[in-house]
Amino acid sequence: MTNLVRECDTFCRYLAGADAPENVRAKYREAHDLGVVAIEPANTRFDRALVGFARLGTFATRLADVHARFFANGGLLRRKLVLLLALLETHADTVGRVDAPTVAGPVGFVVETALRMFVFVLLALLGLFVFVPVRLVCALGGSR
Amino acid sequence: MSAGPSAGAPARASDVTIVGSGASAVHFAQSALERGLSVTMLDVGRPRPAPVRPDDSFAELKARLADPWRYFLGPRFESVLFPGNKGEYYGFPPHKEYIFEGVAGYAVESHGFEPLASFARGGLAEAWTGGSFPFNDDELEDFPFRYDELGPFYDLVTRRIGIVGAADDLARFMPVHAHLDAPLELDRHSALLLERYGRVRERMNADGAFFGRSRAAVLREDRDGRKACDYLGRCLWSCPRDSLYTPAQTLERLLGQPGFTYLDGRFVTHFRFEGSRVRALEFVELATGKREELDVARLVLAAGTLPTSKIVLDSLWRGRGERVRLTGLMDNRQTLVPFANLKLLGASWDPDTYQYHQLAFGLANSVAKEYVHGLVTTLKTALIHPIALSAPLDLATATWLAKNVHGALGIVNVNLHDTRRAESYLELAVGSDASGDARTKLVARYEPAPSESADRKRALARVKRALWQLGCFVPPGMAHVRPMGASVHYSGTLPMSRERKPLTVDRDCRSHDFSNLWLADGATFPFLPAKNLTFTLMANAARIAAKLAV
Ligand SMILES: Cc1cc2nc3c(=O)[nH]c(=O)nc-3n(C[C@H](O)[C@H](O)[C@H](O)COP(=O)(O)OP(=O)(O)OC[C@H]3O[C@@H](n4cnc5c(N)ncnc54)[C@H](O)[C@@H]3O)c2cc1C
Ligand code: SF4
Repeated sequence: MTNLVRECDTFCRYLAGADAPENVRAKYREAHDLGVVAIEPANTRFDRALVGFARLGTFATRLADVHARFFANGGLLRRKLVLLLALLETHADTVGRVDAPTVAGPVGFVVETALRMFVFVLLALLGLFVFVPVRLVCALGGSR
Repeated sequence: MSAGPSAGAPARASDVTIVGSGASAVHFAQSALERGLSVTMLDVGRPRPAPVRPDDSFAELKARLADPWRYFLGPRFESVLFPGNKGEYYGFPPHKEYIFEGVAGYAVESHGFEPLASFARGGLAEAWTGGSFPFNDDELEDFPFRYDELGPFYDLVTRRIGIVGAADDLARFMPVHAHLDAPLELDRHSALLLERYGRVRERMNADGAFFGRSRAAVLREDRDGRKACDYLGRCLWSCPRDSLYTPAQTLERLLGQPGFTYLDGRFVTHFRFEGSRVRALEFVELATGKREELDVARLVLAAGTLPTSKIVLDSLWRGRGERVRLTGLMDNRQTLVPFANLKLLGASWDPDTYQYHQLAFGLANSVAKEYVHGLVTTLKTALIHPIALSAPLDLATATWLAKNVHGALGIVNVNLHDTRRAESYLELAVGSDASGDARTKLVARYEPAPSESADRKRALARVKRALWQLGCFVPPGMAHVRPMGASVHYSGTLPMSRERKPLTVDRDCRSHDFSNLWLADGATFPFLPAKNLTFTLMANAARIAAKLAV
C-alpha cells in the first residue's frame, strides 16, 4: 500500500468513517498526478509537516485540520481534504456517508451541534500547543 | 435562402445582418424573419456538447455513469472548489465551460469589475437560471417608452419561450403579462417557506417585504420539440430535456427557416463606415485565421454589452482614429445570503425537484424604481463541499453540519439596481503585436455609487429580518458580496436617449451616429433595475425588430 493510499484511507475515515473504496483511491491518486492539490508557490515546510502529522491517524487528522482551518486554510492539507470530500459526494457508493442527515430532528441537531462545537473549541486550543512550536521550527528552518 | 451552421455568406447582403446568437440576437432575428426580412447572423457560436444520459436524474447519474467524477468535477477536477475561492457556493459544471471560453482578439483589462463574456451558440444565457421578470413603469421611467409599448413583446416572448409564475403578492412589482403558465411543483422547503409567509404576511408587508413565486423560463408542458420539466434535478448541470429555455433552442428553430443564414466560427472585429452609413463588417474566420469582409444593408449589434461596445469602439478608432469613452457601465450588485430553516434541521431532502429559484422576495423602496429583488434558491442537488469548506470549522465537523442542515439550507441572491455614472466606463487601449499589427483591448472601469454600501447594508438587514419572520436563521459572517461583474447584467454604455447625442441610440435602438446601425442588447439600457434583465432584453429586441421597415 502506497503512502498516498494510506493517506487517502486515513482522511476518508476522518471524513466519512470508513476506508476509501478502490475507485475513490484511484481518483485521489489521479488528482495528485495531475497536480490538482499542489499550490503556488510550492508547499511550505509547515504545509508538509501538517500533512505528515495528519497521516498519523484520524485524531491527528482532525487536530491538524482544526488548526489548518484558521492558520493554513489554503494549504496542502485542506486542499487534499476538500478534494476527497468532493470525490466522496459525487459517487453513489459514497455520497450517503457525507451527504445524508444523521440526526433525528431539530432537537437532536441542536444537542449534537453543541457537543461538536465544544470538542472543536478544545481541539483548537490543543492545536495551538502542538502546532505553534512546529510552525516556529519550520519558520526558523526557512519557509520552503 | 436558409443555411445550416458554417454555410457561406449569401451572395447579396441580407436585409439585416446580426452579430451574436444570444438572447437579444435570436429574438431580434425571429421577429425580423416573421416580418419577411432576410437575416444573416454572424457568431463565434461555440456549440454545446451533447447531453449525457438525458433521462437520468441527478442521483441516477452518480450511480450509472462509469466515471461520475469526470462529469461532476471535470477531467482535470476543475470544478472542485478549494479554500480561497471567491466565496461562491456553486462550482461551475465542467461541460458548461465552453460557454465562457475566450477568443483570441477579445481582451479585457478591468478595474473594479470582473467581466464575463460568452462566445457560445446562445451566449451567456446557456448558463442562466431562467429568471424572467418584466420591468414595470417605475423601472422604465428613464427609458423613452412606457410599459404599454413593451408589454405586448413580453407577451410575445413568453409565448415563444414558456415562462411559469403566479399572480401573487409580487405582482405589485412585476406586471402579470399574458401566457404565463402555472408554476412548477414546489420542493418541500420552498413549500414550507410559502406556507409560513401566509401566516406572517401582514408583518412582512408592513416592513415593505413581499414574497411569492419566482418567474422562470421553464416548461410545464411539452412544446416545440422541448419536453416538460420532469424534475430531474440537473438544472445546474444544464437541462438535458431542454425544459429550461436557452437561446440556442430558438437558434436551432431559426436554422430551418427560409431567409435565415447562420455563419458561425466568425469573430467580428469592427464595422467599416462612410459618413454616417455602415458599409461592411470585418471579421476573422476562426478556423483559418483569415480576415474577411461582409457588406451589410442594416447592421444589428447584439453581441452582449461588452463585446458590442468593443466593436463600436474599434470601429470608431479604425474608421476615424477616434478613441472615445463609453460612460455609464452598469451591473447589479449581488449579495448571496445563505440561510437555514429552523424547522428543517436534520431533515432529508428530495433531489428530484427543480433546482433553481422557485421563490422570490421584493423589497419596496421609497423611490419605487429602486426596488430590491431577491431570488430564493433552496438547496437540493448542489454539491456540499463548497459549503463545508466555507464554515469556520474543521472539515469533518463542517461536513457533519452540512449534511444535517442540507435539507434546511437556502440562499437568497439579493440584487440592487444600478445607475449610469461617468466614473464607470469602457474605453479602448491600443497596442501592437509582435508583427507590429495594431491590437486593441477593452478597458472596463467600475466605481460603485457612493450610496451603494449603505444601500446594500440596509437591504441585507431587511432580508435577514424577513428570513427570520419566515422561520430562518442567517449564520453570521456568511453573506457574500459578489464582485461587480458577477451578476452579468451588463448595460448602459450606448443608451437610448430622447435627445440626439453621439454614442446614444434613439427609442427604437437605432444609432444616432450611423443611420443603418441598430443595437439590440443591454448596451442600450438607460437604467438597470434590480430585476434580472434578460427577459427585457428579449422583449426589447423583438420590439425594435418589429419596427424595421420591410
Ligand atoms: C450563471 C448565469 C446565470 C444567469 N441567470 C440569469 C437569470 O436568471 N435571469 C436573467 O435575466 N439573466 C441571467 N443571466 C444573464 C444573461 O445570461 C444575460 O443577460 C444574457 O445572456 C445577455 O444576452 P445577450 O444576447 O445580450 O448577450 P450574450 O449572451 O453575451 O450573447 C453574445 C453573443 O454574441 C456572440 N459574440 C460576442 N462577441 C462577438 C464577436 N465579436 N463576433 C461574433 N460573435 C460575437 C457570442 O458568441 C454570443 O452568441 C445569467 C448569466 C449567467 C452567466
Ligand atoms: S428539474 Fe431542471 S434539469 Fe430536470 S427537467 Fe426540470 S429543468 Fe430540466
